[in-house]
Amino acid sequence: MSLTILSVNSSYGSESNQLEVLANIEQDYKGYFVQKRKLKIIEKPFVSSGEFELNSKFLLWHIKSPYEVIYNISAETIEETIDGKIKTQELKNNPEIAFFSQIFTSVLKMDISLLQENFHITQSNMETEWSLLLVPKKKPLNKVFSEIKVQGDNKINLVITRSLSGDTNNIHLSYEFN
Amino acid sequence: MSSIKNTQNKALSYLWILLSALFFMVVIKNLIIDKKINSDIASILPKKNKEVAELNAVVNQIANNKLILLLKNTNEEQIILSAQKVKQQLLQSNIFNTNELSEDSNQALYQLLVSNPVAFLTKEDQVLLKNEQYQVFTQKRIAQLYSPFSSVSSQKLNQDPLFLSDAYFSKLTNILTGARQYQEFLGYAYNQHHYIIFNLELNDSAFNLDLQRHYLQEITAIKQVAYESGSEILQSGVIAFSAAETAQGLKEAQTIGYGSLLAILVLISLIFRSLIPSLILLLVIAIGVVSALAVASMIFSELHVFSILVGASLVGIAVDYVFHYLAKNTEVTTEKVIKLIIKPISLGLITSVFGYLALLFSGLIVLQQIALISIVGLIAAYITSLLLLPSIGYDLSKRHLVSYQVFVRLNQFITRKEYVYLAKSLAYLFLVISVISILTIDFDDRVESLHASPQDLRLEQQEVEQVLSTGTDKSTLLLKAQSKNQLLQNLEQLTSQLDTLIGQGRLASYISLNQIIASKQQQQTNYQLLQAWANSQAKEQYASLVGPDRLNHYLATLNAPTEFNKTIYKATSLEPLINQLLIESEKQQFYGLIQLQGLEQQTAIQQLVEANEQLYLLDATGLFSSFLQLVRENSIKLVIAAYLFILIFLVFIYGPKKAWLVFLPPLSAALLSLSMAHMLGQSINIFHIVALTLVLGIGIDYTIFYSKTKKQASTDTVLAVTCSMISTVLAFGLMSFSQTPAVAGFGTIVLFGMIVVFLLAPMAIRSDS
Repeated sequence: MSLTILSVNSSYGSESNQLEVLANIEQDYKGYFVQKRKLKIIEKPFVSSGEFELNSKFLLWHIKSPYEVIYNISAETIEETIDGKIKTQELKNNPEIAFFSQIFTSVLKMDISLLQENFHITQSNMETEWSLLLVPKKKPLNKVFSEIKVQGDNKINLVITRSLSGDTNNIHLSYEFN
Repeated sequence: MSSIKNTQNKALSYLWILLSALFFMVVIKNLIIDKKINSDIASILPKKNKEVAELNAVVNQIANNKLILLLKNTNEEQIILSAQKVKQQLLQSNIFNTNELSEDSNQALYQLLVSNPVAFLTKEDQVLLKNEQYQVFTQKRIAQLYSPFSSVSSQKLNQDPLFLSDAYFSKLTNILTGARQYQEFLGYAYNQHHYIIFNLELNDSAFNLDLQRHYLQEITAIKQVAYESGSEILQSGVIAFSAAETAQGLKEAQTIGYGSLLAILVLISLIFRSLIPSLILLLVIAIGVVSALAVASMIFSELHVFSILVGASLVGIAVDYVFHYLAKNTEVTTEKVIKLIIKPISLGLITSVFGYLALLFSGLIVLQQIALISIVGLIAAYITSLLLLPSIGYDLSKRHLVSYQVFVRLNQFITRKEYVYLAKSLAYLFLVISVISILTIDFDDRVESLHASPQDLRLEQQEVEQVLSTGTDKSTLLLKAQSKNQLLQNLEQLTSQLDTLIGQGRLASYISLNQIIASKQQQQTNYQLLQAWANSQAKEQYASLVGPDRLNHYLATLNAPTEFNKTIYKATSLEPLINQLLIESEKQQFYGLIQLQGLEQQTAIQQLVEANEQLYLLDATGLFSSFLQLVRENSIKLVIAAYLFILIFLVFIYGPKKAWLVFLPPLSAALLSLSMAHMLGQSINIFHIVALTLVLGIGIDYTIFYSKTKKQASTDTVLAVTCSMISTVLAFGLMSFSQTPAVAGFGTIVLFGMIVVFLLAPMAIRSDS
């Protein structure tokens, strides 16, 4: 599990400083998640947990608590299983879901080119851990998120999204073989 | 005596010149200044049936005046820049009405949905609530709260805690077939390309020749602007094709027209060793056409381009009068010519007029116009030949025609017994062969097979259809109602029938106005369904998650049913779609268009249409094709009637035996040319049939002229017939090389027909004495 360091140009701000970010983070992995969604207007956060699996073909997001819901997202479709009933939707017919799930997977996969297309990226903590701050460049992302923070080592450990209205969503990831 | 007659003739000639000049002015006034020309194909449709006419107006509104331009680029930022430039270009244009989207048309739409959720409950949710599956309905909402992929926010939860608008919105984008926003533009990401769509409306018919010309200029400029910013433009719409085809037609008409005119001038000048006969020919035809158009434009309120073209072509038969005059003039002086030719050319005129008279009773305006134009044109050309040609002062008898010997020899050849026998045998043989071959003809009345669409435009259209996921397998239903709400209600009923068809796998999907907004009655039902959920246990569970006060407040503010109002969609991303799905006629009639996709067989839909008086299966090209079929069938009947009329007339004049000899060559030639076109793989259409009239009209002149000549004494007739054949073949036969099937069809018939009738006509030469 080697780390590859890649130099890329950032267009953040007016100065064009050199930015080093992680590439080639592991593409196939699975683990556990705990998601805490905190909406500003509701006191109690929505906490969910379960298992996930990511590989080149799909992202499986299996919420086990508090209710069982399974999402299986491939390049073309999103499958939602609630109460044992599977509902499959074509992503091309659901551009919004398609877009957000694409951004979400690109964060988990550290798909540099896609992230750079959509975010201004700043990086910090270049020791064993690193963290990236993603600030959306354009619509519709910048109408929803003010920033996305990602932390990890050779895998992603934490994703925090912060919306314009002050809502946050913390997703902690942990792994079976670490 | 002779001088009195001369003076009389002169007076008549001047009178005729004066009348022609008058006709010329009428044409200038009516057709050029007042533009009493109609180039709208749809207007040919029979107006007898009011319903059809009304539908047709609707069809026009939908299909003919719409244009889709797709901008294409691999780079998202670049395509937005291109789109802004293209938009500027479009705004400068005065042939398009552009529908503007707001800066954030999806946001505008979302606000609209949030403001009145009962109007926008998805079918899926309706079914869940109707079946009292409150738990499932609630779980779907809860899942949103926990999904990392949902765009749940405080703001959203405040505005729409049941995510009704979200559900509806995703359904809508489903209807919009994957459209997404590119800043203020709507577009699609497809096959690694970005596409931005411009839904345009023309401010006049796509068949307006002026507009077509402007369109070609505009589209060139737009393509240039797009190209300069690195993008490509794809066109899809009737105008793209009609403009390109008209331009191609004009280009062809120019090359074929000028080419054949030049060839005629050269050949005729070579034969007569002078340019004057060609000029005389042009003069006679010109007076004929001008007089015909003048009279027709006074009688009909508008002349159709189609009738003008065909009618003027048929006036071409008058070349026979001129050549007959000139040929006779090679043998006798001008004073004697008229006396000698008046009988055969009068007979020729009468037979032609007889032939076209039948068309006058067809009941179809286009055919009536064609008939009137050709009859008046021929009469005018006839009068010109008789009155003006002798007074021009051009006398061929005083000239020595070198080429004359050629015709003497040709005459000797064709009057030989063996030749006449051969011609007779061939005429019968051709007749038999053609009748057998013609029995296997399948007529092709599809309007699309009449014109050749340029390949690149077809490819562009295909790509547009792929990107917009609107295949060619698309059919459209039209539902009529007296009010918008009535329309929505009827659409709800209809689409539930369509849902059944989808369930049976007989239909893939549909797009209809009622998917966008519910009728008042449905809104009331939705309201009740939501209230029923509000009283359920499941609601309490959900309320504990999102806050009972918030949810109760929301449920209490659910408003009463509202009337559908198109204007509230202005500047939302739905506006273009609504414009496609709803048409309000001036007479307070409302039409809903239901676009069907993946229709397995038409029968299921046809059953629906038959059972519902307000429902129509719309098929713009189909409507026109069935009209062409009607015209074609009528024309066949009329052409047959014309041939019969002429035969009876000839029997009356000549007696049965000779009448048959005069009649057989053009009949045999016409039928053979039809079967030749069929054997060449052409699909036979109305234009082939119209060309048969020309073959008959000119062909019968040949045999009439020949029948007047005794053997070995008809060099002038051979000369006249040869010149006529050459000029007709050059004028019309060259059309067979046209790219446009309709024109090529016409040309093929004239080409084969004229050559064959030329070869067969000598069998009519008198062999008795």
